[in-house]
Amino acid sequence: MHGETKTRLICAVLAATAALLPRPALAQSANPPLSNVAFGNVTSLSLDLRRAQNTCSFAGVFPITYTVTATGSGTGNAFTVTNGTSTVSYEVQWAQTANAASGSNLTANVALTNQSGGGIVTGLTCFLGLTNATLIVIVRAGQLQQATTGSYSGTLSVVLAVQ
Amino acid sequence: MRVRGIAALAATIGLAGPADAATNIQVTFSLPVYAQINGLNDVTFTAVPTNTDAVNSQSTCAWTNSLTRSYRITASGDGGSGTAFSLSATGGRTVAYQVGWAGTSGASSTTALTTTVASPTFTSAALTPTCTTGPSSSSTLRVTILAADLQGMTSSLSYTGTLTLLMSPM
Repeated sequence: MHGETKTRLICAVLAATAALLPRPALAQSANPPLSNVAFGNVTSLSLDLRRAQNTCSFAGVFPITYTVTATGSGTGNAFTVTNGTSTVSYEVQWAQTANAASGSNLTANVALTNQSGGGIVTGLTCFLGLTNATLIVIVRAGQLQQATTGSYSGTLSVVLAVQ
Repeated sequence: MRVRGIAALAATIGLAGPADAATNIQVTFSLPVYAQINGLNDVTFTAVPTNTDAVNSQSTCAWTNSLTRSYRITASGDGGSGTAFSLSATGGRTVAYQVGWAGTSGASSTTALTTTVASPTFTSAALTPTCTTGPSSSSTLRVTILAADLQGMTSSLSYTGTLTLLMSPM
């Protein structure tokens, strides 16, 4: 096969494959999307509140790494929830595998870099509804013990970006 | 022509893709009202002289997460009809005692409590259930046997009773 013809063929295959994949710049949590973290009624002040959810992150076919940046709705983008009078801090972790028990701690508004999530296989993983990452939100018991009663809420914003 | 083709491919696979998207999620929970007294010890009087009141004061950790961190104390004994502040010994002998509570640690004076009657409102300085953060204690329990009552007791007998304290957050 002539060299230029071979190159065109490879490009065509790649383009066709890419067309099947999730939106490429970053298929952020598209499959499945990140869900609200509703812990419900606190029944013990001795236990941490912990919620992990799987998602799929895809950096694109050629970009192989991405960054995760999270911000909270507290002062200075802090990861906090409030009942209107009292504030409770929470922790956010990100793992590069699904069903992870723990992950890398995120600092508010600071990118967690070099997260692996590129290539055709990763893209197909997300496209097929499988997962490859875990978002974990933790409210420590020590924080709960110092908080006053009430309904607490806050917004967590997560941005995945091609590195 | 080849350059344009490569550029188109690059755009397709994301090298020049759209802006990064943010996902916003809500983090929520509901925290009920809790209250507890931590660090209460049994009260023991031994070899008590009868010419002066027998007094035992102890600092405790009374904590609540109510919005104002306020609470009331309802105390009850197990003497008399069942709730009197009194100790009993063999032979049906009894002796009354007094109960006081203060909303601060190490208090020299306390508010007298009446059995089964809620106290006035106290406000706690405790920040955590066991006072591991903030002040190490936040209240004072004072148990007294008046000298006049001591003088009516029979020597060599052991008098015992149970004092129950109920903390109600406000």
